[in-house]
Amino acid sequence: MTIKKSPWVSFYNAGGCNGCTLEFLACTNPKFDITRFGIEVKASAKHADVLVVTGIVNKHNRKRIINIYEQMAEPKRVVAVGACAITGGIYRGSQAHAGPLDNVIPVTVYVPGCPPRPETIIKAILEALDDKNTKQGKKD
Amino acid sequence: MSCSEEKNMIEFIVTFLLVFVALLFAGFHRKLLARLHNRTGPPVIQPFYDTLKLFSKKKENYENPIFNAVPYVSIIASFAILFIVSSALVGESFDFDYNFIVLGYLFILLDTFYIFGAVASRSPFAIHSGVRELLLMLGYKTTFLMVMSLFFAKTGVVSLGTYSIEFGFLQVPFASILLVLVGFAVMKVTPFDVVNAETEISAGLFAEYYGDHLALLKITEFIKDLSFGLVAGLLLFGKIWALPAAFGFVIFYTLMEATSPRYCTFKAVKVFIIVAILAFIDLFLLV
Repeated sequence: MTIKKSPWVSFYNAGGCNGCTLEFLACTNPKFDITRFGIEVKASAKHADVLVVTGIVNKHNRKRIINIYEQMAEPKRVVAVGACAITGGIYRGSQAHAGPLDNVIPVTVYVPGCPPRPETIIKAILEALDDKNTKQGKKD
Repeated sequence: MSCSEEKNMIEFIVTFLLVFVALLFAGFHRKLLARLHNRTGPPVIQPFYDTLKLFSKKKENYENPIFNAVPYVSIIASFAILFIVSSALVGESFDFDYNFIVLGYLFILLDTFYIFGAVASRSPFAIHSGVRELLLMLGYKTTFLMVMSLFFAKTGVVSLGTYSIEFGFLQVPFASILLVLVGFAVMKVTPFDVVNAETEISAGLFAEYYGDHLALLKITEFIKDLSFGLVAGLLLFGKIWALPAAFGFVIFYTLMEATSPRYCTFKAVKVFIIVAILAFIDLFLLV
């Protein structure tokens, strides 16, 4: 219950065209304002409850994503934003691509789109906080 | 129950109520900052949700004992500050001669604990932030002690509890300006928030803390901010106006935070060294 009222989000841009990154950053502006849900964007992954990942997972940053995920304290959620994070998008099959994000870390919610709208990203973060959408919640 | 016991009881109740007030002030600060940015912002009780959430997070022990001990000693030091401040406002159990000097040292101690924790964490961001804090402390902490001494020397009062002067800023105008300037560094408000500049050095001093440790440190920060506001309110406006003045300071510093950019570390340190020299000259002229 407490995580729903105060979700702190950490953000990782794995690469790509930065379109999803700009859409995520737009969530913090006065028009979309994610702070009204108690969401705070945190620079340190240790403080975060939700990890938002945009861009293509590649051979260079694969270990880094795992490291960031392992630093987060339980309970934690992951939101994969954009086609690149979910499947590889236009970079799929390239020599640098290291597979979809859910091959590297467990993903709670997927946000398809190239790039997705800020409203969709906010909705996804809020959906990720719902226990029904997690594996643990489904078992219960 | 005797009269003194009743007073002590009231003092303890007020101290614990002030912890809630500190969290509410922090929530109000965030709400006001959001409104100034033309955002809706989080609810005023958001710091309560944040703190509860942090206490519920799964904890893993860090092997460094200093790193683990810092949140606990910090919260003890912050409660000591709050007890001195609340006894100055409503009671007398922590009201002893020259307690304002002890209060000043407790403020210094609190930041020193943070630096210890930052260094013990071995995070480059935290260590960098600790170095910034250490540089700033040279200027603003010495100024804080000198300004408080100036207030008490000029008014002839020996403790916070016996300070019954209303609108003291009229008697000590120059020191009052310096005290408000010190508030920028104590409350970590732009242009002097180089210590927890989140866009530059991650989460600053607390980069490696999480869970209940982070919750304790957050509460410590809220208490420190409120205590400074109350002390400044007491010195500048008098005992009755201390709490409304603390609220006024929150509004003032939030306005400044919303409208000013951040100085670079070198410039912030330079400003506070000049402020410390001015406070020293004022103190020297008095002697």
